[in-house]
Amino acid sequence: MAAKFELTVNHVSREVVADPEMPLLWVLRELLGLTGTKYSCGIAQCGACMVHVDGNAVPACITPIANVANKSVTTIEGLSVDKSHPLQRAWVDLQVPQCGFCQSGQLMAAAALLTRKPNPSDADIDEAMSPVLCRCGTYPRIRAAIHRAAALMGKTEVSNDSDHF
Amino acid sequence: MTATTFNRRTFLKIMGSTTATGFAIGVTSLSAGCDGELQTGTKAGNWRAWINIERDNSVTVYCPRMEMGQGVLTGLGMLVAEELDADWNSITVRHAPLDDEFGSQLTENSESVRVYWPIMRKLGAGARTQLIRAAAQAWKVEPSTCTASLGLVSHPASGRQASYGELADAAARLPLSAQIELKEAMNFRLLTRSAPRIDIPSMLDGSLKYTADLSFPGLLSATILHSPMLGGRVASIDNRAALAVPGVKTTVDLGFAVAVVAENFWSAEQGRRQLKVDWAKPVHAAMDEGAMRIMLKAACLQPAAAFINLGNSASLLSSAESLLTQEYSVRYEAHATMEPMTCIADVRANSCEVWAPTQSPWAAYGVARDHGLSPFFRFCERLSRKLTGKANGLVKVHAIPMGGGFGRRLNQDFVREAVLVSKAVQAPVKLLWTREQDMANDFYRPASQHRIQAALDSQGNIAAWRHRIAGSGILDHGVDFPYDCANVRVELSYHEIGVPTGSLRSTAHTPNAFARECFMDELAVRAGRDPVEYRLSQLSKNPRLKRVLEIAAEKAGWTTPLPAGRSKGVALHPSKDSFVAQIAEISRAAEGAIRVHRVICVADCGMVFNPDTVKAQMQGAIVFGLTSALKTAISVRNGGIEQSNFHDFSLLRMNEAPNIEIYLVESADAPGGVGESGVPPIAPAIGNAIFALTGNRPRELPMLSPALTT
Repeated sequence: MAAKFELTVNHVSREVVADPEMPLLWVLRELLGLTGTKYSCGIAQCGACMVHVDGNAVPACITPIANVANKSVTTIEGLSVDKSHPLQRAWVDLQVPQCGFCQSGQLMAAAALLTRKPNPSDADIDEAMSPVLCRCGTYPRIRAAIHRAAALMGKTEVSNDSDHF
Repeated sequence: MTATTFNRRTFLKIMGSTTATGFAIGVTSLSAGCDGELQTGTKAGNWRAWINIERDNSVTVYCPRMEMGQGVLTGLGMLVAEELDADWNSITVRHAPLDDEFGSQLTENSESVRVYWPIMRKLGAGARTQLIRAAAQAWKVEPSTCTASLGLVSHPASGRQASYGELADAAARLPLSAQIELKEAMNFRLLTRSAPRIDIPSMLDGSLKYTADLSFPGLLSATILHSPMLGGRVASIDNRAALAVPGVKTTVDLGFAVAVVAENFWSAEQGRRQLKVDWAKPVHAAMDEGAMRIMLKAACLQPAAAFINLGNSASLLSSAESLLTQEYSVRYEAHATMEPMTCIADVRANSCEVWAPTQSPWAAYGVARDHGLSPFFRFCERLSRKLTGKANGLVKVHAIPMGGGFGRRLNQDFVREAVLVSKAVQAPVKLLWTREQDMANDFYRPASQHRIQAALDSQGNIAAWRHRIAGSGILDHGVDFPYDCANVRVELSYHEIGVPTGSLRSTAHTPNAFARECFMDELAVRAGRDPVEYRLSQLSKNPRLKRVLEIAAEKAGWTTPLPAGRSKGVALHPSKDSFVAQIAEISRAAEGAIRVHRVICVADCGMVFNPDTVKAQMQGAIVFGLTSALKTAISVRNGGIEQSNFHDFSLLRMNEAPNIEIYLVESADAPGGVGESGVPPIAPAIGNAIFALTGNRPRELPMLSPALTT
């Protein structure tokens, strides 16, 4: 039975009419037109659908819309206004993505990690990022880019790769 | 600059700007690489079809290969930009339209650069030559007195300058130059460096649209339920509960599957869960895992047809004093692209339009034509295509960037399904498979059984070699024996198993390299020799392979003892005109899980351009290969695939990814294939490291923990 739900998405108040069980993933993609969050497994085993709910990384595919009523949701589209988030900058600097399909989930998981731990260790990265699969194998670059983003945020020394133009 | 779908307006611009004399419709066969003939490129006479220069100096390059994360849009764009001497920041690259001008556009076999290395460069150089001639003509000077750089043609003597944009129309009207000179490598400005991929920014904010992200008014959604037994058929459907789900429009019986069509995917999926389908079993069910393995092992005990037969292998083996025999088993593997199978189809009375992530837009085109058009319009289409060599208005294919390919999207089964559903409901339909359907309806990397025998001479070197392989699908890639041995026999034994198979990022190279390189290690142990030294001493005919192994051993500190509980293993493999050696360093947790700490990878891929992308492909290939090496396999039970999602077909995760060091050998040889060549060595390198650590030899791929203790 469809019902009305209010929630904030990327700082904008939204109202949707949906079955309470409809996963947030499909509300975002099909009712709100925000297709940056991806479907890949539907059972929270792959992390492609990671979003933030009240600041926490959450798999949207198993989160019923009823559970996020009146909450604040951030998707990849809301990570920054202009790709200026340190993670996005680091992702470009280190050329992280290959096919790109998992990268929304990777970035959202990484962003939640950096909010909790601005200077994550490799073990912290393992824990936060292991839920997000990448078939193309970009894990080494993701790890390096998280460290780089942390450095950018902390404004510590960041080397520039002169091999790129 | 984003690599977006090729839109209708630009398509027409290309069509309209073609001159009758300009097209070079012909195909040139290029040198055969590994795994048979490379796909053909074109004679590439007409740069105007490939490079569009606007008045504002922005340049669009039409890329004849499909992007799936390997960076081909950027890479082939760089080849043009280098010779064109365009400003890289002015370049956009898009998938080329469907036109014989752009060759087969089939993207596989790590060959895009190998095929297009000379062609894209000639196109850029041709355009540059015309732009200079146009300026020279306008200025009434000799072309040789003009220079071109960063989008500007200059005449230094007079100080005159004109942008490419200002010259483009005039240049396009000139007859094509017969003489086109390419730059010497020492003059490369772009290629030896790494360009940031032009499509990466759009992957960071959700703006890159994959197929399932596309939408337009009137588009319905669909999902699909295939027979749980491979090859099964629909016997009867009870769709009443499915139709009762809000948003569901209808169901479509395709014979081999049932589609549910709805307003959106979630409704379609809810409807699919309510479907009750009785399935008729296939005439021949796919063989169960156990039965298949018994059959293949038995097949390996029988002589089979020789694929390679050099020297006198058979008789030397039968009379050998020192003979080693070993068997290896390789199981099925799924592609598991992160983007599941999906396609949008819009079938009308006299047209069929599809949007698909595909590695072969012409194959998608053929499927759209054959299943979407009525017989009369199919006839019209064939005639038109024969006359013009182009796709025409009856069938349109929008090739959308893929969320992973790895060979899966060489098959157009999902395109056919979307077309059939759209035709049935007479509306445009976006078909999206669930992960469960994707896992169970793949074209798997073939399973195989290997039996290798080798005779050693008095020094322990290999005197004779026989590698027998039994399985189905592609078995024969990567069986050339790279070591010194005059007596080599490879036998292939093909069997009906009933599981659909296809190409999967290196395909047969991975199983064959696993068997060979594990066996080489066993021979080294038998001969009392170090595994690296043993290989080096028998690579006299393969200097490029020898060199990468030497460098790998040095970078890995092969002879440096490791702390207790750690070991190293080595493997190498040539493929796709590239030569790769890898050394893996591992340890093992108490409960048996293998932990990979470090992988050294040395690759000779010929002349390296855009080195960062080459490194990225090697890194990615190693991570990809580690899933093959250490994680779960695909198995068959009761005629269907047992695995259904990532909980039972697990991929390597971040916490399992090793530190990877990539070293690219400097080479003047033509570029070799990069996308796949990093995959084959990793599994045997790990297997050999496991032996060094535990004394147990894994002989099954993937190498799962319980098996290691037997």
